[in-house]
Amino acid sequence: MIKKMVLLTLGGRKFSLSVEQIEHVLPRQRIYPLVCLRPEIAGVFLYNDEPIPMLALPTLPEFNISEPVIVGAYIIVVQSEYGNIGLSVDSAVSIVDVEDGSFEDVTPSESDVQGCHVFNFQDVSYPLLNVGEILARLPY
Amino acid sequence: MIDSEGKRVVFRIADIGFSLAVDVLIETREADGVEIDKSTADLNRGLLGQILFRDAAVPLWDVRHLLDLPYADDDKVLVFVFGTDGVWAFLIEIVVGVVLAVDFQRCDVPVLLLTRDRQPFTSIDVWHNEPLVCFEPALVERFMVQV
Repeated sequence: MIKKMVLLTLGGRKFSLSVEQIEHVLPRQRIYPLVCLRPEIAGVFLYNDEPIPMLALPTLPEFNISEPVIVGAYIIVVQSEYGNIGLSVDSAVSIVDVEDGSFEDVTPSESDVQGCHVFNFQDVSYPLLNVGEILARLPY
Repeated sequence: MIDSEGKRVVFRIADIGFSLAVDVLIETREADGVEIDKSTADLNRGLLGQILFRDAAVPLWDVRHLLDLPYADDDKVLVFVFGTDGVWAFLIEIVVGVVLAVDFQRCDVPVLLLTRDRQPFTSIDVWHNEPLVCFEPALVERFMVQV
């Protein structure tokens, strides 16, 4: 089976994400605040009647997203070893074959996304969102 | 006698929904006109002072301060609860209602919401498609710095 990548934009910036990590793509959901959340969590939304944390990517310094987008047009429910988590996406999602693009390692000086791998597709670079790494780096 | 077992009070503070077991709730009342003895207040700890409750002085705690919620002058209802060492009170915005526990869906707190030190809630109730923080006085007390 040919692996797929999802190409998306968040805060006006392009990213890529492996389809294997995606549980579901939802239209915009209401985000509910709770108490004592870490700043990297914007709140929770309900998915299958379960509260799912919403990752506030713009608060992560390595993403350097100036536009304070917390809730875009879609929410991607991503699987992780910490449980499902939501990512807000502000553009229609496109899905492409991995074989139609290429992966590349990029040094931190070449990209403001830490430890970055990039998926190149049709001469456009999409930094790879590794949600597991992002969550592992959160201060606990 | 009305059986209150299995019922929960839904209330709001700072637009966040909470649910509280009726078993630990003593009373709610309008805060307007209630005299607060501020001689014991320590705002740095979130202690607003003391108020009279059934002829005894009980501490009035600022839950917004304890749980790091935004300050607002919107809290108009007093809630008295059984704490670990006695009765204490706090202010809320509004009581939404009293609901049968069976009308809630009880959920575990997602791992990413857990903190290592003090966790102010251990469950989430889903009610009318809204996640509510299960307010547990004993857990909130952990945020009260005693002197």
